[in-house]
Amino acid sequence: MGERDEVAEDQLLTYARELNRVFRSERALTAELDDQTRRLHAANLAAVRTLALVVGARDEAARTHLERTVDLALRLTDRIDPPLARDGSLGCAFLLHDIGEMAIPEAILRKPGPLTPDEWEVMRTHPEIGARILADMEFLGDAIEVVRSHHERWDGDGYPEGLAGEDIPLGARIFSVCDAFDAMTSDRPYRGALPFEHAVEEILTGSGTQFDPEVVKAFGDLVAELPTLRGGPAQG
Amino acid sequence: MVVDDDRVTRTVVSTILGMEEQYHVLEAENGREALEIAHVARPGLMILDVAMPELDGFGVCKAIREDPELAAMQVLILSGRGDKRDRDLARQMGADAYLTKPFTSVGLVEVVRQMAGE
Repeated sequence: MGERDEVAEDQLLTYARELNRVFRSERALTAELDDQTRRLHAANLAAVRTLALVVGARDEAARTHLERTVDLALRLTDRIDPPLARDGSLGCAFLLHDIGEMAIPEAILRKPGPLTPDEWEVMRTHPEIGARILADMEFLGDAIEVVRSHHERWDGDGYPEGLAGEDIPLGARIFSVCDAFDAMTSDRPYRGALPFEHAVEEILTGSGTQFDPEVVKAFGDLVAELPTLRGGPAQG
Repeated sequence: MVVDDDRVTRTVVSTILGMEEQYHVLEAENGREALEIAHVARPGLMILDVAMPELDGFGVCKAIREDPELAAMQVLILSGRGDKRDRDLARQMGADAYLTKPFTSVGLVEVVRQMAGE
């Protein structure tokens, strides 16, 4: 190799080493930024969680119901659409689904018996109010639609918009199954908890009418595999 | 403008300076081509490799200084040999600065910035 080639090679090596150093420091910076973003996100989630528990969990029973429902809904989402489950904003929306109940009078919320048509009218405003309350939380993104649509039904008979089928966001279709299931297996002011198997049966019966058949199928597979859920009616 | 018959070094220099937004970098493969382009494009700075066939870097530098149209141009000499003779010769031929290969991109950019008065 001639002297000139050596000079050129030296120059190229020098440049390559320099690029390598730049690349490494850039990678370190990116890692640090990722780490900070993760922490910020975790702080956001913690704040949302606190907010959700303060608002949605008026007592221990409500808190247990909320946490169990969210946990179940996230497991079910992970089965149906894993990337959606990993998006932290969905879990936030699940936790906050009933935040609109803040605006519903206590007398209606805790009424120990069936609601009158007028009271139902008021009660049915809570998903829309919830979505409006959360509208400024940009990091929730599309997950806000889960709050708005968690009382929609697959057959279009739900509220607030009467959406049907896949017009209802997937997160909301999943959540409504889990919410109904946990409500049935919990004691309510006007009735006791249904037995576990009975509640599962009710969900399966709602396939194609109240619930998305695909979601119900995945739900059936999930509860069959979950030993913690099979121990009989849940308390709370 | 960067003038080097070695494609690798020419590309390295042009890439490094090209990343600085304020510079538009032209390339030439030999001294004669460099002078032709310089007359048309009038670059503010000429970066010349010493060892080129036909007209070497010193020759191009001398030609620039003797040409009234180009004489005001800044000249940076790149040399593969770090010896004192090259450095002295560069000064004699009227070069404004001198850099030894291999140089770092930080070193190159620093020298070019100084020459541009930045």
